[in-house]
Amino acid sequence: MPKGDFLGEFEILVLAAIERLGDDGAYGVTIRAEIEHRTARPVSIGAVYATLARLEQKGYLRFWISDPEPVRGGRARKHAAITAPGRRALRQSTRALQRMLDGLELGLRPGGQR
Amino acid sequence: MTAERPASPALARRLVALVAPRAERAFVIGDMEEEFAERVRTHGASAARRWYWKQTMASLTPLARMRLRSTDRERGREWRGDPMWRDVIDDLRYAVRVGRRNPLLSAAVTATMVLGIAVTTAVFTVVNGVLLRPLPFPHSERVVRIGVILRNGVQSNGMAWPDLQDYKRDQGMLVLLGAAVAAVLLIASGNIANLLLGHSQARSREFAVRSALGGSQGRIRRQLLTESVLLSLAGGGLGMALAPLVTRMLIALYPGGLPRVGEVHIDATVLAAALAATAAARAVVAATGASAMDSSCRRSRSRSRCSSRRVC
Repeated sequence: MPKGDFLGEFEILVLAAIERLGDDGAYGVTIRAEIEHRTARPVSIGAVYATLARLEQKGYLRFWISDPEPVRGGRARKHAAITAPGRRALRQSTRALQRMLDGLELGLRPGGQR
Repeated sequence: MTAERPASPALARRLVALVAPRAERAFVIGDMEEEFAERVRTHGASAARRWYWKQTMASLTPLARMRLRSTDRERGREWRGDPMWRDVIDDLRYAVRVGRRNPLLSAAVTATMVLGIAVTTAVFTVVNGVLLRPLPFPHSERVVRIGVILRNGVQSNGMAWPDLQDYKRDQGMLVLLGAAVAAVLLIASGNIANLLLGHSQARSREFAVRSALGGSQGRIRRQLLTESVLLSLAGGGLGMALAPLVTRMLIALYPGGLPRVGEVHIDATVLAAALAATAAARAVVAATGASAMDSSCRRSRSRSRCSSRRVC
């Protein structure tokens, strides 16, 4: 298994957020908010964009630009969609993490609260 | 119906626009504006503004890294100006890296240059103010006061014509003083040249690799020129900044001993002289680099890569 398939922590968070938000819902604002709400830690929009760019370079996601909103001053948004290799990398990285944590008493429950 | 909508902080917005990669700029700011408008509704305008600033400060570093990471190809696509300037910017970036890789050398060269130029500028400032600058009279170069002190201590206001001719010859003294000042700078330049020569010898491999990879001699030469310009700008700038201090120290060494001290200040003439001095120092640095490159050329045995005008 090539080493490059493993993701950094923030990369995992970003890819998971995109998966959660679905095909049409994932762009800067929603990705940032999703991570911030679920992890309860401050996330900067710049960090999200930097990570998105890195993931796109690795081929784990692709961008598509939405049509401008049909209101005055409406803008186009840069959406992210996860690719098949991206989904695979996410699965591999989280699986490795799960195996490492399996059986450890860290107070973790599936879907548990912090 | 729509009330005046609170605007996001313009300075923060401009910071983001400045740092973000060109291709991402509109999207990043658009996202921030969208969430800002939402927060104005939910949290109030001042809380939203605080949030905007926090986002900006936390985003600058990742955005800047993102911009630096973008590959040459992407930079090339992003670049809209003259390709010549892209080379210049690449050269500058590389020059900064070389400087950072050898911090001791950079510091030594800059310090030598700063001292040399500060002292030269200061001495020239004093010489210029005390001796060279014309008195505030029309045709002041013709104003002369000549007196004679006889051996028995008696002062006489007149003097014999042949004596006057002798004194006129002695005016060459001023030129000598100027030469001494120039010598100070020459010594500084020599030291810098020595330092850089050693450094360039160590880099000859780098030049050889670069030309082996297809870098033209002109391109390498330009790289060296950029490095030397950067060094001399740093040295020259700091030196000139330090010059007023050294000037004051010089004047303090002669309390009341210098005529026209009140008129001593750094002016356009002095600045031009300092700039010339910097340029001279720069020329030395550039020449050193070029000679090192040629020596690397000679060693690399790749005759075809070396300029045909030289015996490689």
